[in-house]
Amino acid sequence: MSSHREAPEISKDPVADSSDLYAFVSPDKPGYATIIANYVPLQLPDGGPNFFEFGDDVLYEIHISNRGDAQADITYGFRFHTVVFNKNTFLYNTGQITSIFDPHFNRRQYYSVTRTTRGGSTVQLGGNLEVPPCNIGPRSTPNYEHLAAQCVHGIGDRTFFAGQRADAFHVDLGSVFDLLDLRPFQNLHVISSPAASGVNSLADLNVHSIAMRVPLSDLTVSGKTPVDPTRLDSVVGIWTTASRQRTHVYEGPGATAQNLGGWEQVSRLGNPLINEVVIPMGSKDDWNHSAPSSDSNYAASFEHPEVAGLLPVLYPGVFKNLAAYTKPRLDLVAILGTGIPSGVVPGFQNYTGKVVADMLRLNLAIPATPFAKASPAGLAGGDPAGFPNGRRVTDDVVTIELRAIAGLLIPLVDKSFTPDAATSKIDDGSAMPPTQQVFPYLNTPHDGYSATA
Amino acid sequence: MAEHSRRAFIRGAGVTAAAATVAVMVPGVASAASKSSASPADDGSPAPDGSVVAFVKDAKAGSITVMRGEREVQITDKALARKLAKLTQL
Repeated sequence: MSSHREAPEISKDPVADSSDLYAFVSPDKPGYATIIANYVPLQLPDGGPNFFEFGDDVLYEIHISNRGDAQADITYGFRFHTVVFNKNTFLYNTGQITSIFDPHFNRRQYYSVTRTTRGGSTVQLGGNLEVPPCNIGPRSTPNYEHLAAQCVHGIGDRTFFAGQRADAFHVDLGSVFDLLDLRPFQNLHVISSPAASGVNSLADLNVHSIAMRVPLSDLTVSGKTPVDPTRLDSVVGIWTTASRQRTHVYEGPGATAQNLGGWEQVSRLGNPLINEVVIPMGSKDDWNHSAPSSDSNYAASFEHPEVAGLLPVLYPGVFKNLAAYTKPRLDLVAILGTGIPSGVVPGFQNYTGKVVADMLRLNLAIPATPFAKASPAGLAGGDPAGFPNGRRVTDDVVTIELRAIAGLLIPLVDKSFTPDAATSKIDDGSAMPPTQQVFPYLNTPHDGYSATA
Repeated sequence: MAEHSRRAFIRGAGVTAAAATVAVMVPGVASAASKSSASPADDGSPAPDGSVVAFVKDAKAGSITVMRGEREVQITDKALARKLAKLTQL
């Protein structure tokens, strides 16, 4: 969860909290791209009797910008509704759920999918699409992947899934937010202790995912499949949002609360960790309500990231070169704000124009790297199909971004800078969890019975 | 990481550069559907069904946002705003 509980307001509204966004050319289906938007972070698998679900009162959206101005040219919208079959029991399931249509599956969610084009119309692609139950345990959901597979919905040449999955993100939350401690190197921290192995704080937790796999031509401005990685129109910018209606009125016993008014965006996510560790506390809520096209308002946070200033203080003597570097961080502005233009990394570009905007940029003409050969370091590991060219579920974005913030990639834009020796070793030590190599790529959710946390 | 020692951390390493009714669902569209105008006169026609919320953001300025379903209309009506605000006075 690269953006979970990252702002004061959304930390109190997990159902609408955009926590991770992945986008990549599908390795197992050439000519298609997969986009996964995660919400409802930090789920304890044994969170019954009311297990986690999407918000019926939330509008979930995935936005695509393909004209270079950071405006949404294509928006996929997802709305959920809940049906309770037997209201006279407290049980989520009244027996074993062996099929998505099993009468024992008591509390169900369904969703609709729409596709809206900029200045055009909204088309409903599907309605009443089933969501699988949460993974409760071996007695209730004995063959969970069968249930999940029943909820992979093919609609024409598009495929959709919405439901609970295991979180693929990994980070040592306990140490990182304890004064930016990195357990493997905490012997060098200003408040030192013996070095230790990292901990993946999310190893046993679930999320709710909205995943879609669509033809590449569904995303491009031309409506054609891009084949030339050097062309600007091969690159799209992607971000996800959640919105709520402006008013929520409680009317007391016997009445259903009402939501009225237009939709107000309450959460957004493009690149990982931006609102989490780049945007300052006083601006985080505003950032969640704003559009990527207005991110020039936050340019100072990209040009002079707080973490880059903290590292030399918290790890005395380790980041001397970084401490001495006072120029605006144009490397980060390019990587996170505009995309990398041609000529910076040989043979690569994912530039979306001069508008500084937090979008996950994906060059659709760059072929997917086979699963077995994909580098978790992404582009920095010599793999142009990985982050920051989109983001795969196996990309180690914490390490990539920490190293980038520490100055590893400054030489791309400023040859006079030499990264500190430690920079390429930064790692929080958390282990990558297992994922799967077929849609929706995130692993089977942890079941409640087996939960150990 | 295989090795997590101080030496590993500081050891030199180079840069490895390496359907149409849902249109109002979309925030941008919803905003476009909203309109700002002076409060129209009551034409005597029946009131539409459903609940309505009026948000008087600034009673002195007369700015009111009226919400029904997913629709919003912004109006300026100082008399109506003042009347609504006064209803809540103790």
